[in-house]
Amino acid sequence: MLRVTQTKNTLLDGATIDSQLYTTPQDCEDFFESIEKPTTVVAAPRPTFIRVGVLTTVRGSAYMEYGNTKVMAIVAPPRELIRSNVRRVNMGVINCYVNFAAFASDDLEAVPEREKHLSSMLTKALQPLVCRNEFVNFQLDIRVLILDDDGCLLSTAINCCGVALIECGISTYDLITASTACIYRDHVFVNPTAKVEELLWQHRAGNALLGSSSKSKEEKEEQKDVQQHGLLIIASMETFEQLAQCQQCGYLKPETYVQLLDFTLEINKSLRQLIKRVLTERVKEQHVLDMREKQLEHQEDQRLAAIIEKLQQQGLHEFIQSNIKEDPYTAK
Amino acid sequence: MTEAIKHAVADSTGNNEDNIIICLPGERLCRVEDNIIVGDGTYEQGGYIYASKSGIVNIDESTETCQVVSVHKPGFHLTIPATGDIVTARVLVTTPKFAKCAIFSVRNVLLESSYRGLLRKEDVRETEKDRVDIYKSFKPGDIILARVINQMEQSFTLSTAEAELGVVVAYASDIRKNRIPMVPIGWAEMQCPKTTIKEPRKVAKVLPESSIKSNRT
Repeated sequence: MLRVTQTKNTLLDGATIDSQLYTTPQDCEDFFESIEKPTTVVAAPRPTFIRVGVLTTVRGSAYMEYGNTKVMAIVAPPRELIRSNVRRVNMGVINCYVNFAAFASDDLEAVPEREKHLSSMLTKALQPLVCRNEFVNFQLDIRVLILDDDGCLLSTAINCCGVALIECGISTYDLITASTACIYRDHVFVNPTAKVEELLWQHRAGNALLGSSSKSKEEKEEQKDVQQHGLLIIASMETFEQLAQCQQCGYLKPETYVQLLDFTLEINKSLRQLIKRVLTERVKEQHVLDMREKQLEHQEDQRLAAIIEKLQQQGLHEFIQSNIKEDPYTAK
Repeated sequence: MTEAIKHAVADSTGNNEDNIIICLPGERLCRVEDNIIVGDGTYEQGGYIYASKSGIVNIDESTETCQVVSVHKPGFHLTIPATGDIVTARVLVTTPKFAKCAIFSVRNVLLESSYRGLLRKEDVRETEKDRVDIYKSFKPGDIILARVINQMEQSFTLSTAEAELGVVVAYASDIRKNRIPMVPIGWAEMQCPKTTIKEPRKVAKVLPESSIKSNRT
């Protein structure tokens, strides 16, 4: 039986609030049972794979696997703002487009809404990262394709975009890393899987059902210590110890909040190490390629210089004759 | 001084192979001092210079009084026309007051997509600005060299008010199908070698690359 006690609040002037706003719904019970519950909290990222420059047709691209979550990010060079959407700002505009691959999600009806939500969250996360003063009156398009969804979508997308931006050569103030942590009935889930996220997503509006045990008034008093459930996504930039984005849903006590924050920051730190290593390798790789190209150019220059010198020394006719002999096509 | 920077960066990143310093965005490079200039790929914050790109730290000590700290990113390098850059553009539309252009190359870098440029009548020539006629200076389809003087909301403002700037490649208006570029025969005239038609243009005095380099330094 449902029972909602409505308390009168003088401040609200006759309006009522639901006193049992943050209790956990009953119908999630079975679902919760089926989830694997971690015994200890290990603040470490999932097995991660990052590859920079996966696409040759686009300048800045990155592919990232975070456990089973697979995400690809593409950054195109800044484009000019189109007249219609000019806003009078002295900053570049960042547009993020998140798309689910057709096979990534079972629930096709929810896809457009999630895409929209992720896009706007991603834009907000990347805005403090990019040196937007460097391309005033330009817009930067960032596209994200989600190939597989197993939780931590937003944080993985942020990580991936951060790498892709740097690969594209767009000035950024720092490296950005993000991670997700959540709590449900005293179980802390670090890097929650899609199932756990779905469970928490059902509570997002706070209009949860009453718990089964709150039938009498005395019991209700005990129930003051309501079970916490909440999700926290933190994107951080470590050089200046800034949080680029903090997204939270559910009901969390301040102490729990701090605890979860510490977990996410810990993960961010180790992810940062990984991203640093990947990018440093990339720079070295590119540097070697650059040097080789330079060397080839230099050789070509030398060859041409030798030919010109030869040409000046010998007569023209003689030079042409000697060159024809060297030509592989005439040799055939 | 620079030795100290090198040492500090090498310590923090741990890569000192081949005497190159690799840095990533957000890495602190050195302290801000009077004789240190913040170069490309870096920014200043709280009295220190930080890298804003991934790449190789480059300390330019060519001038005695100051050092330029910059970060060079190997591989693809993003280029956006900046104020003072020489750009190559194609004239799209001419009106009595201005010519619209599409910038397709900055310095010696070919751009991926073209940017809009606007060349106003007053910026065509250095002298006798009031006598300038856009129709007698440019025709749609001409390739021009210009300098970026400003970045407006919609486009870059260009200027050809230098002897070295102006039309480089142009085709006579009636013989377009043959695609034979005209030959400059003066600072304000070009001639088609086939039909000997003369057309007025604001001709650029194109110099070899070597002489431009010596001018700059």
